[in-house]
Amino acid sequence: MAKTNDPALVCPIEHVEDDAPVVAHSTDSRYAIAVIVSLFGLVFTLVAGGIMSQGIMRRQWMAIICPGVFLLVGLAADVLAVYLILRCFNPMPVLVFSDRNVYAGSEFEVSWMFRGSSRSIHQLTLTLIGTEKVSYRQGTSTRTEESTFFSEVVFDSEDPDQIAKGFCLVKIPDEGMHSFKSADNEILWVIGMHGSIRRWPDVTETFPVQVLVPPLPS
Amino acid sequence: MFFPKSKSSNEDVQEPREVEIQLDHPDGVYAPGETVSVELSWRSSVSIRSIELTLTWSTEGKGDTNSDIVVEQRWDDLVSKTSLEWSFVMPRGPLSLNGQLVSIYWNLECAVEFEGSSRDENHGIPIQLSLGPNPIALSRVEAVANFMRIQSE
Repeated sequence: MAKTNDPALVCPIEHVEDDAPVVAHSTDSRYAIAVIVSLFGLVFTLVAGGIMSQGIMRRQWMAIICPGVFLLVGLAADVLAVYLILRCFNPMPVLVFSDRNVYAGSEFEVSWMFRGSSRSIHQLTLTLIGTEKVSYRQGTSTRTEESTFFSEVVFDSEDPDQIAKGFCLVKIPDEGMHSFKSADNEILWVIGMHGSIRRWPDVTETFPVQVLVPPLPS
Repeated sequence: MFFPKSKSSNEDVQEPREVEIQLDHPDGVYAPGETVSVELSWRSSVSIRSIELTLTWSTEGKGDTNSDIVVEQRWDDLVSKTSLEWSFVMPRGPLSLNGQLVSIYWNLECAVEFEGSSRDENHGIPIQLSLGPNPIALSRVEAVANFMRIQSE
């Protein structure tokens, strides 16, 4: 008896028969990143600042210079944390894909709206992006590398009404590769959303698109 | 009889293979869901204890190699036989791929165990799983600056 493994472990196939619309979830966890960077910056700044102040009081130069380097890192993290905290107040996009089962050559509709006011966004761009992503061990560390093989702007507007709520058609190229994910190698498709805001961090979110393996001929 | 290019564990030894493998598609190109017919044959003077055929996919490229056995079949007690026929259905994916960082290859591997001998023979035949005559090719394009680092789910 032949043993057969399920290829769905590495490449997506249809989970359900119906092709109902699906709400896409952003891969960016803006709150978690802001909290982590803020805590990192706070701890670095307080510890390095404390040691440095003692060094100043005792007039010990090494106790000033060494923690000074860490203090600079902490301050840089604090600046980044402020940027990330401001980004948390950005409007939150909600994307809906018209089709759940998307294949190479498929055309589907992407519609969006925002939780929170989108009036601050003066330009909105949606881009379909295909990326190869690999990881490899080098010594004791693991490195990651990416290569974009497809990039196409599918929506670009400065009209406030179209930015607030709209839709566009997205076509996966006919010769495109389906999504693939093994332990160290990935083929990813995403819709990248970029909303430009003046004097404020931009809205930058990515929404994965699961491109299924081609259906078997009926 | 057609013998697709095969990889062997003892390629430097210039001796004829004891077991010959023939695919019904000489070019080794199959579509998802298509049936692959394999014929294995060997001389009557060769006494074989067992043969194991495995269909595997593997990645090659800059990332660490990942692979999986998708179909596996083993035959024992082959002393009185000189040929075997087997067929299996190609899975839907992953499709064969030639990328910049990662490529995906399929291989039909044959492991032969000889009767009364510690010598085994291993060789593989490349198979292409694709919708057309060529595997999917990916080229590098300029990344969008705002999405340089794509996060996976």
